[in-house]
Amino acid sequence: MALRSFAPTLALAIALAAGVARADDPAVPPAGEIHLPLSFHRYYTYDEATAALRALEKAYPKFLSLTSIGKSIEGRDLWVMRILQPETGPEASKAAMYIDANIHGNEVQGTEVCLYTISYLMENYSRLPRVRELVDERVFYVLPMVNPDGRAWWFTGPNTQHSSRSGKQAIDDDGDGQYDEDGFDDIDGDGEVLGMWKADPHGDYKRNPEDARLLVRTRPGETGEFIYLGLEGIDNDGDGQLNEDPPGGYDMNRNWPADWLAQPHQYGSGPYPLNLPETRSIAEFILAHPNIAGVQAYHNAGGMILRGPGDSALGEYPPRDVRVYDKLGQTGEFMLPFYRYMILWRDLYAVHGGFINWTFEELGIFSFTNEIWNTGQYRNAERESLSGFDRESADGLKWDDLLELGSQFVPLKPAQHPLYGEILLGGFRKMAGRMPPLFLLEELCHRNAAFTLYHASEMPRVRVRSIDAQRIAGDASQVTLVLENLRAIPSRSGIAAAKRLGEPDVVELSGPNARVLASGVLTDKFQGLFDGSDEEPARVKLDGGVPGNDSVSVRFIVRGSGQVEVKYTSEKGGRLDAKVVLP
Amino acid sequence: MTKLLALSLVAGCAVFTALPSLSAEDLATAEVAIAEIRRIVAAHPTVASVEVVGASRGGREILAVTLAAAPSGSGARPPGERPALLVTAGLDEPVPFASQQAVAILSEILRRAEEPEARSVLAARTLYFLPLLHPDAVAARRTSPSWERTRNGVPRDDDRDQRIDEDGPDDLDGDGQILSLRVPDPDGPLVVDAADPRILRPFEPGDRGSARFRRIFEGIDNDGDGAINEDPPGGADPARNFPYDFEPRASESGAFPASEPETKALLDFLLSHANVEAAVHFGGDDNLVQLPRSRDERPAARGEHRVWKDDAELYTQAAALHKERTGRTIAGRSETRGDWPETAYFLFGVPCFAVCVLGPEPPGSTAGGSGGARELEKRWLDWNDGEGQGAAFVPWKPFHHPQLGDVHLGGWKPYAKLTASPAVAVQRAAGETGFILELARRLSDVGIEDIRLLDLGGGLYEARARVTNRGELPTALRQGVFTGRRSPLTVEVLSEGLRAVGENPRRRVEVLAGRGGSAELKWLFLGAPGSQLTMEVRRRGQRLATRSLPIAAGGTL
Repeated sequence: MALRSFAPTLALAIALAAGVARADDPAVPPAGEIHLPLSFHRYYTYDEATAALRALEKAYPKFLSLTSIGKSIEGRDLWVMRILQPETGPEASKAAMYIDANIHGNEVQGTEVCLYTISYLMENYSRLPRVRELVDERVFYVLPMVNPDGRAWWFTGPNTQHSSRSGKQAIDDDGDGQYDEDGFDDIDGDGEVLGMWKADPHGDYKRNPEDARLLVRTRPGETGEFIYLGLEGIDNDGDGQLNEDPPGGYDMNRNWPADWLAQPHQYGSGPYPLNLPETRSIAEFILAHPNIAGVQAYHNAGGMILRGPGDSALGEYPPRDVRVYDKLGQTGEFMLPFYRYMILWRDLYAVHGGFINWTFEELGIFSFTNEIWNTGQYRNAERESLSGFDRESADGLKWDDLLELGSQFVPLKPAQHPLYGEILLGGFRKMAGRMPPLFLLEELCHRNAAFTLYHASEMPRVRVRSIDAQRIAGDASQVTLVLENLRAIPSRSGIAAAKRLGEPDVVELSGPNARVLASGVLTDKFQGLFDGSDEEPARVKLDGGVPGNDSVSVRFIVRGSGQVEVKYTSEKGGRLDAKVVLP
Repeated sequence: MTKLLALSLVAGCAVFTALPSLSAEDLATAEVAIAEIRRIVAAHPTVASVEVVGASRGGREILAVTLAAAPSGSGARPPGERPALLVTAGLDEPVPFASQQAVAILSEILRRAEEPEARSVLAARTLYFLPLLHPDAVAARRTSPSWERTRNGVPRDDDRDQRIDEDGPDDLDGDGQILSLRVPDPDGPLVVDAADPRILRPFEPGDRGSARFRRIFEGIDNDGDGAINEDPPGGADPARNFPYDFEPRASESGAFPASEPETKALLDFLLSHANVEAAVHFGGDDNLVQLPRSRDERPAARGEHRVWKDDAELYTQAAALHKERTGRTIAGRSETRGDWPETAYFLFGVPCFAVCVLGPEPPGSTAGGSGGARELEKRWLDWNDGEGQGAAFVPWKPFHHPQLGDVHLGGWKPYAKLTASPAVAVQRAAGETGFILELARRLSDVGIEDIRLLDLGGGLYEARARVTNRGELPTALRQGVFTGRRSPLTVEVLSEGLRAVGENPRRRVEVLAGRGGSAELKWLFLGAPGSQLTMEVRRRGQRLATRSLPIAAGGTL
């Protein structure tokens, strides 16, 4: 972790980079034998990540509880690790940070960030006061594998760095009545899906004159030596197409009920929102925990700290929310110098039915997606382009040759294809491209975890600044409660107030000998004017909540005597009470 | 409308022996309805079966009935592979009567199962019935106190005060039903009608000086927030919970699309029955009297209510058929956000013909909606005074409200305007059954015609075939093709010893138009043919047609 020395062994890095979680790889302990402290010089399969979570829970039983909130299509558990300090207040009264990862099956390293976050908080609870404060005052719900089937398939099946985003519900992508019958095939059994090439004197590819291991397109007028046949696979269903119906065939991150659009307006959105067991289970979990005040989802790659909206048609978020987002996002850029703070539709692409769109636009929770890993980190260069440097150029290949000792690139090698005959296979392994090399994984985990902990620290922290009572006439008094929020995130976002999402905060006064005549939020403390709450004066609704780094004053005009109690109840701002004696 | 019908409104469980005895039992409770559906199915085991496809929010069974004769003869397909018509009901207001109607049709089809029309349909088609999609709403009608509601039992804090379901209607006079309160209010929007003091009509400038009122449902301010009945029990109406044009955060639309088990059960049923080509829905929605608007360009991504022009023609034909077979045209709701008929069409490419079972007019009225709200109210009161024998409307009576003081209590009994007798459903069942059977007959019917194999010499063969849709509906609506939810047909030629040269032996046909739409296909093969050539047409793995050709060079089947 951050306090441990960081000394990866090169041999370990190479061994793991060369193949992924092979059973016979001594660097990868078999599932069920995960030991603490966790290593972040490796990637964890679904089973290994499960074992790691169990090991953590066993090691820190006071704070951690691991729960399955549902099952995936193939029956794997959707694990949520709750981090709760039970001695500092009930769970529902604490603002909660929800963290998840790996909604796309191939975007795996967010799971390691989740494991790192749990480990870091536990290992440093007794060492770092700020960690102790976070654990004492907040709740964390960490769901490291949103798409466990996709993760399992990515590690064990024939895949590339880009496949498979989907879960494993069978989809007939090519409409031929067969489901998932024609995906990639590892023709030569080397554990990789590479490019397929065939020698052809009239081909349109030739060897790169700067590095003969690479093939490049011919220019007009040139004659090539090879043709490109596609990614490694065979025509499994005999329909004349390669790899056109791989496992799954949808996008879980388009399946959420916020600006959800059906196909063809939005690819992969599913027949209806939350039709999948994974997304539905998670949505029900989040809806059942209205104390969640921050959301972080980990994806890969490109180096982005993303927020909504997902489409320009939705307009910009309320200005007061944008100010909060900007503060968090810009701080993220400072902490993650290889990353950019971006708006989905404006800076990347339109997304309908995205997860963080739902959590903010329909639940009012400040939410980010981090697209983790950018080759800027590889090269210690800030602001690499989103796609990174051209790995498949002669210059790009040098980084693999020199820094990773050639472990990520497979030079062309002969193979036999059932239809094409003699072919050549070659290219980058699936670990390359969207994932960091192992020697940079721990840094990536730490920087992203630190950003999310910063987000968690900025969730609302509401306190009673003061309460006082003053006689105004006869037995009538005015009771004034000042609530202050010490953090940047309001107890209710602007969008929550505007769309009436969730419950407003409520301030309620009661006392055995007190009757409330009028109440409201002070708008002019000098003149004592307030926005009234005529119908039920003993209860004041704060739909705007308590603003971030600001305060709100609530005044009650009360007739009576003796002690009165004022209670503040908020989904995300917690529960407070204060007492005062009427003069 | 007969007096018997009016009586049934009072008694609630009348049995009409004078009318055809086809499920004339009043589906008084959800349990009775479920038992009745099971009883009807059990009486016809050779063509009917029932399964549970979900459970309501209140834990009641959601049933699906399959009507199909067992396959017989070569080429006969199992029910799951036959073109199917889905019939749904009991989802939206008027829930109990719509369910009653669907069950009566179900019963009538089975009664006619051996008659030629029904027999041929049940041999070649499959009918799926989900007649009781919102059983909790049926149960609510007979729950004391009775009050009109379509929301299920999912908790909802309607007034957002951190208290859930704490302020619903209250039966203040203990009569077992929720009536209305006529509350004096100097700013109220209503005045008492001079001609009939039972009527509350809108205040007009000429009414200055008249006593003014507001009307609310019977209840008190349970939570002391100054509002009455603002947070009643439950909170989602499954009929507004469908994903197409879902209205987020509307008062009864649900937490998210398909959040409600009733809604999800129907969607999942449709998704798991790819053979469903069209649907008929009985309820308050309507697209047969108020036909969908049409367009001929790509639909808008959000809020589109116009159907493709090609598809609009099907609605027109269905409307004509419905009118011809039933003689009824009741206009209902249309283009409702988050509803089932539009979801079926826009998301799944399945045309869902919505039949409104009860209109706004009282039984027997021929007014056709003429006049304003006051005149309509008057017609209802006239009906109440006549055929209704005064049993549907409770005259206003003085009542001392604990919070509002002196008010009047009375008005229409719950469901008085939303219920008809079981006998009405039975009477209508004959016409509706004709509509259902004919619509099912018109579903697509794909066959392989004119299959040939020509010996071109030198081991080269040419196979030809024509695939034809003999049904009246196309194999896919344009919306089905647009969304990709209606798969294309795949036509495959199989023969030992032959290798395709050129065209893939598995060919795609995107759509065959209705009424004889066809596609001519041709393949070249090389090799030595076996004993026969087999051709299959499939859609999403389901076999639609198969034909084999014994091979004799140059032969034609």
